[in-house]
Amino acid sequence: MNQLHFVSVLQSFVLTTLILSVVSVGFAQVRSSTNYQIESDSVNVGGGYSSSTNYQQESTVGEVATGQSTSTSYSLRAGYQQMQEIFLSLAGVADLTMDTALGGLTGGTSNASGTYTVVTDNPAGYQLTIEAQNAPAMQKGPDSIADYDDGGAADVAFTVGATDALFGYTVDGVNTSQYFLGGGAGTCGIGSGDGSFNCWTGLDTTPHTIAQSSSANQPDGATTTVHFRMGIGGNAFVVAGEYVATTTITALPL
Amino acid sequence: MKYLLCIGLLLSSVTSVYAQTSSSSFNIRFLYGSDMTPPTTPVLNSATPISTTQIDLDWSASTDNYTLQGYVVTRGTSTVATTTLTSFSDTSVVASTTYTYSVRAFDNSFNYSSSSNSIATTTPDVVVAPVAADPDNATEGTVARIVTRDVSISPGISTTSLAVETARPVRLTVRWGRSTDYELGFLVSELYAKRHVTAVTDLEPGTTYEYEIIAETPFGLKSVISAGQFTTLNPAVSTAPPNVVRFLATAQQDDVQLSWQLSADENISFVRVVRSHLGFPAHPQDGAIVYQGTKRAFTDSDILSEYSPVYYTAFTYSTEGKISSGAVAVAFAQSDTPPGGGDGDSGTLGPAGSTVPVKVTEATSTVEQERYTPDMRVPELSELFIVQSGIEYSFLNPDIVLRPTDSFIVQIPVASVAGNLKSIIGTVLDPTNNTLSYAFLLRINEDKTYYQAVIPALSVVGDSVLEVVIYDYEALTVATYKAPIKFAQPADAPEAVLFPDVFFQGPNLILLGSTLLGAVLLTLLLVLRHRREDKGDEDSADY
Repeated sequence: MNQLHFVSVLQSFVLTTLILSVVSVGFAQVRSSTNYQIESDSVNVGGGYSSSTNYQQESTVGEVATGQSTSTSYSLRAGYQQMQEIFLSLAGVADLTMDTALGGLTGGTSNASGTYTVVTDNPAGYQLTIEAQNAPAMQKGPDSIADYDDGGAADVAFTVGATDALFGYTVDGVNTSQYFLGGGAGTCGIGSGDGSFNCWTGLDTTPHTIAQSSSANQPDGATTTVHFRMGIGGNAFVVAGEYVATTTITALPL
Repeated sequence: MKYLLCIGLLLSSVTSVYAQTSSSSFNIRFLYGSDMTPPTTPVLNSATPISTTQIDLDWSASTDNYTLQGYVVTRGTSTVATTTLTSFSDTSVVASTTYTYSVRAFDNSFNYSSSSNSIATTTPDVVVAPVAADPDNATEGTVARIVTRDVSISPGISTTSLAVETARPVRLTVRWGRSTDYELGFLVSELYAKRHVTAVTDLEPGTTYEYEIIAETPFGLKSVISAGQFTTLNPAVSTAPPNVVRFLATAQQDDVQLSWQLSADENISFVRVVRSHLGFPAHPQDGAIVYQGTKRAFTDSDILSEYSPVYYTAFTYSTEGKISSGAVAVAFAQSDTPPGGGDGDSGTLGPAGSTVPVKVTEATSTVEQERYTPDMRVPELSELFIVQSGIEYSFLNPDIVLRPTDSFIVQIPVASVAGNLKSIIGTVLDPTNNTLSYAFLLRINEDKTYYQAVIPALSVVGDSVLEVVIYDYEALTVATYKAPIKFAQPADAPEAVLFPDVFFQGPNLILLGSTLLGAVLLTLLLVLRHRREDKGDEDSADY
């Protein structure tokens, strides 16, 4: 490496470092813990800390955030650093218990449902996915119950053979993924028709999109209901006991 | 060059979307086989004789490894109650008798816990009242005084809720009426309790009632603890007034002649017409306000020399400030060809004057596949509804007959339409003139359950078609729905209504003119003859 080239590289490094330092101030910071998240810090040019025996005060300058307002046509986030970060929340996730304990000679079905609400101000919308921790999802020590296999396209009806024991799910909601639509017209994945308890598939250890929207939905948000179903055939062999499917729901901005 | 590369790489890294992902895990539990584990044993906390005919029990809650179903309350060897609560009032007891209670919990596999501890208690033989040293200042009540902690009255539209709390258990009697005779009804509680919540029902909206609440202690003391008036609420006013009728935009060289009719709704305050060259104004501030008032026509001058087409939406305002969904119309410069050529298949926003829907014999739906994307949600025919006078018709109903003199609502559940679709427009074909149609915006209603348009009465009879078109963010058609509808008077109507649009056209107009001319000539003839008779009488008198 000749000296001229070395100087050139050094100049690049210095320039990049300077830009990075400037950007790091301008872009602020985000800090978080399990209890809080600071979306934006700011470097102020006035104010300060003062105290007496009865009070203490932290003054700042230049942070006039007038807040958020919405109408049917627009969403306004006016003021200092109001547009710093996209907001997205997921609510409603809780443990579920299938409603019927099965067993005996006739088999049957057992159901549980969870309703999940996503609120986001992301103008590009959000995506909601589901995945299981294990394959098959339902586990009891060394024993398990098979996941519903739809063969690549969701089945309109949840079908279980006499010797089968299967665990599957379907989805209802305003932003339901196309994969779970079309059951009302007889073919899942085609068309827009929806119907409750149509279009079944099984959990997987890779995320499967269950709902998607390409627009903001705050403040009301959008709800998605996942219906889980266990189907046990009359001649199925299942080891008795309690099975657990550890499942993860993820909402991510688009 | 190297600097640019550094800066480019840097900027590309800092301008990425800065957002959080939310992820949560949960367990789904399923039990195969028999649940053999019973719930934990409850603890009976108290069994308190409230009166000679009532003993109150309460116990601590049990837990179960699966699903706790409820509790069985046992008195002696008999089951007296099965409940999901953790308290019970036994009113099947008599005075001066000792009863022993216990409780068991059970789960949804009917595994029963062991019996709780037992508590024996005896109902009083005679009335035994608590006595305070200073009855007037007693805070818990005495044999001669009932202490009221709270009386809360919450009027509704047709019901009124009452909540009463006293220091000691009482039984309540509630009486109400239009006068202090309390002639309309009464309620008597069965249980002695410190807190009562009840409701008076079948009330008239917006009406003032007199009421009286009487408390009765287990010792027989009765006392009026509250009396007065409450007024029921008025029902909410209709959310939106009907749209204007027959809203049309007609090009006259560079001017646009706008005309409309007001519906018979007395609640309408004024009309606002809003214009835009980008698309139909979706709300009253979404464009230039070209007219506001109570007239039925307006000329938007020289606008077509600047823009073509121009889109108009007319909003009606009620006296309460509510706003209609909007009636829409479009006008093109006469040198322009309206998109779609009026065949109803236009890809752009252009109903009312440019795309008159064609009659159909059965409901149809068309989804434009080139505009449809998997994240779009468009309704099925069964999810489009027409509502008139409380009767709801699906678009799939083959026999939709509407009263011509009443407005009706076109609505689609919000959940049936993707939120990223721009607008929905409903168009009604004029039954008496198939070259005219009237279009309306479907806007989301106040409780965000439906996209709705209130379509006013057209006051004409005949066969028509209702077309609903959903447009995307580029104002291009995504889905089109059509349903045949018929405007007809019900069969039991006393007589047909004369509809101006029918009567003042063609042969009817000639018939009307002839009749009026004949009536005028006959009247003149009678007047002349009468004057001649009067003159003859006067001449006779002179004689």
